[in-house]
Amino acid sequence: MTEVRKEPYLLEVKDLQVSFYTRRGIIRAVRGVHLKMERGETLGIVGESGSGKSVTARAILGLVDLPGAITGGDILWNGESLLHGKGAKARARKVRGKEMAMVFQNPMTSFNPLYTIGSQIREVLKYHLGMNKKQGTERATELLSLVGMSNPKSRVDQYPHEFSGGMRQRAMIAMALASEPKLLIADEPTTALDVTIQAQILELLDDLQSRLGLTTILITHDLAVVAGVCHRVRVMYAGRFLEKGSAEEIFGKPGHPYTVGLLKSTPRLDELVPRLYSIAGSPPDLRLPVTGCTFLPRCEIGEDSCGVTEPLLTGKKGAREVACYRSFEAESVIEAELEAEWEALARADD
Amino acid sequence: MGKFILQRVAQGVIVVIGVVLVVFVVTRLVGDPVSLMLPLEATPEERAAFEATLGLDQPLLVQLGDFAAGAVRLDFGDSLWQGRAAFEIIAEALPKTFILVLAALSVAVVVAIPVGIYASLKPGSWIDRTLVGGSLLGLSIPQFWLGLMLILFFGVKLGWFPTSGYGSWKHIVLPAVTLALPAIGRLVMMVRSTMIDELHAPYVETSQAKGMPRWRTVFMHAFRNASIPVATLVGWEFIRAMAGYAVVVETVFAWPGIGFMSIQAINQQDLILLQAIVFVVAIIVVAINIGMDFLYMGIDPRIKVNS
Amino acid sequence: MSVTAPPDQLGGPTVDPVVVDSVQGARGRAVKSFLEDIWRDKAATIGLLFLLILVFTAVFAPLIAPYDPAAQSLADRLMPPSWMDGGSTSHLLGTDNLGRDVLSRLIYGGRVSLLVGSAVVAIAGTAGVLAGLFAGYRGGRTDTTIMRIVDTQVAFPGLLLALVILAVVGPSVSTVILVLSLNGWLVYARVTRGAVLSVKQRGYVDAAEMVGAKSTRVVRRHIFPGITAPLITLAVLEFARIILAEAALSFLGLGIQPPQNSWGLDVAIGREYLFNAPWLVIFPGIAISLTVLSANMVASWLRVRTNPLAREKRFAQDTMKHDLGSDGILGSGDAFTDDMYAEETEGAATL
Repeated sequence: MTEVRKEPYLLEVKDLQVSFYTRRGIIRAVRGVHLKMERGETLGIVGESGSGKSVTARAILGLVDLPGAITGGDILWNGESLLHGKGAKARARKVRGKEMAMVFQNPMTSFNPLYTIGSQIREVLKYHLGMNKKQGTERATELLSLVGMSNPKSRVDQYPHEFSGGMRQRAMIAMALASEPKLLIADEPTTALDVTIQAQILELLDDLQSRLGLTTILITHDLAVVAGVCHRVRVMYAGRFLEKGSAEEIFGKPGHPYTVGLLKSTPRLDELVPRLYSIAGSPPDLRLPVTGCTFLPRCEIGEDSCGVTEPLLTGKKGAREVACYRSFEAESVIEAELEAEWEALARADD
Repeated sequence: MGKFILQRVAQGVIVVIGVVLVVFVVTRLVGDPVSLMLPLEATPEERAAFEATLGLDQPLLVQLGDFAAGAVRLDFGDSLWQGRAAFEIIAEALPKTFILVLAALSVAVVVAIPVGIYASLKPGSWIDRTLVGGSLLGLSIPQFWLGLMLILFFGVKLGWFPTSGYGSWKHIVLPAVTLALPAIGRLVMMVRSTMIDELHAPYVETSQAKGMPRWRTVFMHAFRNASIPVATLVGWEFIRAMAGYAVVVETVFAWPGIGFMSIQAINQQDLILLQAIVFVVAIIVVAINIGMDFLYMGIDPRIKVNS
Repeated sequence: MSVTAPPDQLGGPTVDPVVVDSVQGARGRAVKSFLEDIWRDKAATIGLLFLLILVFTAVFAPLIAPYDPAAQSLADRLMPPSWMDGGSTSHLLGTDNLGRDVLSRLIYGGRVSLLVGSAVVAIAGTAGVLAGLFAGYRGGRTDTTIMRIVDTQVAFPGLLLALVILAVVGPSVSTVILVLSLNGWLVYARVTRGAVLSVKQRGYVDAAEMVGAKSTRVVRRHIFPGITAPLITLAVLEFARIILAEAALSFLGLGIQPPQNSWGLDVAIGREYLFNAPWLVIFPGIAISLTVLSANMVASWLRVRTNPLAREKRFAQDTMKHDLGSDGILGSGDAFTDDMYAEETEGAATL
């Protein structure tokens, strides 16, 4: 706690709150998210759709718009606020798109259909690095070959509709890298792609991350994606983080019942299970005030006492933290349950 | 490419033939052109002679053939009203209508596009509501009445502009504004709603995430995409003005264009001039339609010229 | 008032009161939500009220109008409105060149506008919707044929042809309705076909067909409800457009003919006296403008009402102001996608 840092974090998010103002009520999509990014690390944020992970990413990049709005908290870049105080707006303008870049989920619609891929990359080069058209075209060609595109010279002058989905996502990554950003946020970068292409894109991201020394935030609902690529992992649920830790820790010994549920519901080849586990119920209605643990209605080991006050992340600060009153108890319970089923099945076979 | 042009031209020819057919069927079969054109007290002999000079005693198909044979040589016969070639009258009137329509549409586009874009940036704000309200008002006012009010105020009360006729640049101001105002209303509404849609497109978010300046996102990305439907509407406004609104506005301001001529032809019961005007206007409409197709190909790289 | 009397004591058929209650309740709620919704849009409320008043005065014109609109009184000709010099309260909006009461002519003129407007919407709407349903539902060659006819006719110089037809056939209320209907069905056909195609993609139509539902039933039960919202908006817009067209035709002398009266015709008559009796032109013009504007405002409210995203945006705008004041911390970028909105509200909506 008393540790003194000389250098500020690359990115620090403090108590971020984002709400959506809808006819049916105010949806508090992000309810107090804290995040600290070291240079060069890769962070995975895992959660279901509606957990607030995409909104968090968009808030960092300043892309939240009505009916949504940032209603509280702060976002610091190199220790300086992008939201509050003098010059924050100007700072944010300089940082966003230049120092941090984003890769979106749907490569099919994220390019402007009326411009060539090359000219859309050149735009970034011109605005952030001051390159002229000739330099821009050269650099865009380099970037396309950097992301593993064959024949980049002719690709540069093609339109988005002439590219396949995987190719477009590669081009999207090339465009995100064009401004030589420090931080790359990838929001479900593989969700819209075929499985075989997914692996290629993840490999590419991993490779680029280590080659260019990028700091990366990878947002996904797919634990398998996180497992291969990320150093640290956060599990997000109902607008908050429920668990944080290194990838090995979380996969080796999940602390929160929700994380356990997510892991058990992911198909694996190295383990024989009677059935895939599934988390019953659905996420809470974020228009209603939160009383107690948001996961309680779906929890296997929840108790009445969990419903009084919302649990906070506790544990070794900065390393392993879990927001659960009965942390690390769920795994054995669920495993025992599945084991019992397995045995019952075996008996029935006899 | 060649095949595409050919296809569009063929479609255009069908439209022109259709229009001529409608005119012939209505005038020859439904109506009685001779009694329409001759005074009531005409004797049967006079009627027969008149019929023969116009070829109206021939079968309909022969008449159609004669008309088509004349039309390709731009010979539509002599106007009954003015006693000279109908084509001559059209050739004099058509440029005047073009000048009026082009002036009005230029004003409309120059005003409506910035206004529509501006309104789309803050949908629901008071300024947006005001602009939308103003546009609705603009497109709700009947054009002929708007023209008369402008004459009353700017022509009579203030005396800034002549009340009617054709001549100096001052003559064109009031009719052009009259023709432009409802078009501005329609265009603003259209630009606004298309831009609101485009501003929510994922590629706009990409542009924001790239840190592009707002103006560049709005104009180079969103508006470039919105310009396809907007260009369609501008083309339609051109067509509607040439083939409709010009009739009303030219009548109010006695602007001697093709619309004014068509009302004169109707009042003078000059069937020859009227069918010539309809034929020429139909060709212009078809030409604008084909021109618009080429414009799309210029804007949108996804349109392939193959089918 | 025996409010408490159960239905069976009223002599009607005995119905389960619970059922009656729920049906009436649902209908009551729908009406209430409709009223609440339009009340939020003041312009549309005023527009709707104006149209209702117009319908009322048109229906009861003989009871409301102070004079017979055709009654001439040459002694009273060209009297200005009551508030101007030489005006009299006996003729509130003055008199025309034949001494006819302008206000009474306005009230009767509304009859023609409403009649032509609703008749054309009914005829062109029915024809266009049927053609569009047929094209969209049948698809294939039926679709190509119908849409080719529509495409060809759309390229016709519509108003000019209408003028020719009216000049030859002779202008009257019924020919005006006929000509405007001939021109008006195209847009309904296009919109209906487009809506049918998008409804068909949603799968439940396929499902109904696979279960063996008859095609008329599929159209009535599954397709029609899905396309009514855009069609109602279109009908209101077309109503406004038709009123303008009728006025223009009457102004040109090719629409309503004397002794019948219409606003457009009154403007044409008054045009001769524009400089010394401008009220003859001004009042009918205002009547047309207000009617068309009212219909347009109702249509633009309908469009927002039937577009969920637009509704949400408008709502968010209003509540934000209350909640955050004017300087809520907004993201500096301004993009927001539908997909994201759907994704992020999904969880909340399912509960």
